[in-house]
Amino acid sequence: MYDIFFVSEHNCNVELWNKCKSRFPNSQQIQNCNNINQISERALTKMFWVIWDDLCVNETFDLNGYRATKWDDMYVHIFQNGNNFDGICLFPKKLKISQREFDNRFFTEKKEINTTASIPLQQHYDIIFISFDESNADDNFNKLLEKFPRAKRIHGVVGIHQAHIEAAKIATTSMFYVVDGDAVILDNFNFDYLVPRYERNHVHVWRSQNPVNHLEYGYGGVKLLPREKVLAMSIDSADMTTSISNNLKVMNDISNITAFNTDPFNSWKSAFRECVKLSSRLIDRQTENETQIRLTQWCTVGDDVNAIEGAIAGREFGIKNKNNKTELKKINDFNWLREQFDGR
Amino acid sequence: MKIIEFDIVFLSYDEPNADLHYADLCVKVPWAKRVHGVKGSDHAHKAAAELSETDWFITVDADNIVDPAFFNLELDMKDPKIQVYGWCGRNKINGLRYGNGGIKIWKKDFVLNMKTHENSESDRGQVDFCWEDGYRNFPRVYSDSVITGSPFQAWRAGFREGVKMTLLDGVRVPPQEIKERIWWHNIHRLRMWSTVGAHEENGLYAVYGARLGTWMTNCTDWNYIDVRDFEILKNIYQENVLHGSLETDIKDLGDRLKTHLGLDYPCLDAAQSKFTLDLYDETINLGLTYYRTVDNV
Repeated sequence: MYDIFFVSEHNCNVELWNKCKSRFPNSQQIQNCNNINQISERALTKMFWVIWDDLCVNETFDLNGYRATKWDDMYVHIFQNGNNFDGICLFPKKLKISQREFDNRFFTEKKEINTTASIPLQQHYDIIFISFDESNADDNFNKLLEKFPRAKRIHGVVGIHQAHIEAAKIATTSMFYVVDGDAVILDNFNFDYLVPRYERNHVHVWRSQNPVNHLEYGYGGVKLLPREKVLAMSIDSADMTTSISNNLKVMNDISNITAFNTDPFNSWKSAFRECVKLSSRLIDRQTENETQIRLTQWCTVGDDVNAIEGAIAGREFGIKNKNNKTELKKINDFNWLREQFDGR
Repeated sequence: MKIIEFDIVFLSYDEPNADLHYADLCVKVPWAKRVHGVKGSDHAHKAAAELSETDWFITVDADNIVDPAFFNLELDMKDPKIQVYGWCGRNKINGLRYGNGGIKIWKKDFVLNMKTHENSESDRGQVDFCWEDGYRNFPRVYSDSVITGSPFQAWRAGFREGVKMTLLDGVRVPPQEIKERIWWHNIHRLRMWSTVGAHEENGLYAVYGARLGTWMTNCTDWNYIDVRDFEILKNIYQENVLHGSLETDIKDLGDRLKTHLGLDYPCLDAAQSKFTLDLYDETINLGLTYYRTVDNV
């Protein structure tokens, strides 16, 4: 039998601790724990269990019945937590664990145990709806609010980066979802993605459906952003998403329809901005072939004349100003976009 | 210091297997960062340094698949002179194990202030990094260098080594002095690059590239400093490759290198190439185990 610790990063989750104590009377509680030494110095056994307070131990999993074999008792045994390996850990007392491994709950010397010993606690990240002048924004927000009453709204902030920074300021969770003003959320999208501990600094982008040209990719999709990274992001880049974090995770599911084609200006503006990004190869690591297909589809497919006109104008502007950051940044200035539209 | 504490930056430019290798790295270290498409080795490394949030950072070249055991290493970093630590990479085509393609750990300040390749002010620095006493290389291999993602990738890797392996401190030597003055390790590496590869898909392009690099550097008036410029290399590839039979071109270059430089390379078929590689790997693995050592003798 190994020592068992119920570990909290901040204050103890009393309900979970009581459950843990009743199932494993030999367990001990550690609060405000931010490094492995706080735990290992209290352990008296060769290995010790850590139950993190952001997960629920599976009823059928018996810690006291598990023993590490002699030939692998030098590794961290990490058990499946829902779909990911960031759950209950059995640590060798002598193994050196770096701070980064501890913080990310991702270890280099580990044995991943294919047993679902726990499920993560539901992560109710804030949902923040960002609108500027989209004519369907009120309708979209009301629909969102009906299904997800925790949704909040940022409206009328000038500048894409600034709007997201304002969203981060009102967020109360470590990550938050962003829904664009023209997004109509699909019925089966529930803002319930379980982020593995080691991906909490990643930008997650879901795919969206384009109602004009039927493309399905990250354009206009729901995003899940790390709050601290958003607050610290540079506002100098033309593409906001990639300036938040170098770690981008593209999600396969479709979150919404990007209903950008509500009026002539919004159709033109949205198509223009996206095609500038595509044609200037502004976004790091764009796949050339994929970019070309998307650009062609924006410029040729659909019956919205303003969208196609905006796409063609955006393509030309992007090609002409490929390496001119000052010019490219203008696509985030909605007043400048309005001038371009009016002066066509 | 445990190596996993440092930021890890994956460096890619246009390598066809870069996305695959980055995905593999992210499975091993989910927070690995990436610099992509930055032209020039000096600029790319500076971009990596700027991305790093730690004082030291690890670089993984795009053609590398990293052994996860690397991240368990603990490094004694007390020597203040050392600015860069490097490990050997194993080339998948020819089995060579040396700094080419290996993992490195860099001091962030040093990288931000260094002047190499396109920013160099010295001859040697024009084509490679110059670390002098500030570099420590470890013999252990912690990555496989996979350069066979496309004919061009294989050719470029071979070409660059074909150029660099015949330079002395970054400078060309008279053709008749190559065999005497170039370090024998480099001649050995050049022989492997110039012969072993037929057993791998696209491997012959690396062989051809190595021979062409050696030829153009030492037997033509081509400015070998351009080896650092990937766009120029693309033009050389388009002008020289795919206009005839690869095997014939390799043999033809071999004949010319023999006549002009005295470098005598056989043309190995796939079976011979594989046999040579296997034998080479075995020999390295034999190492000190070949003779049984007796204590106190």
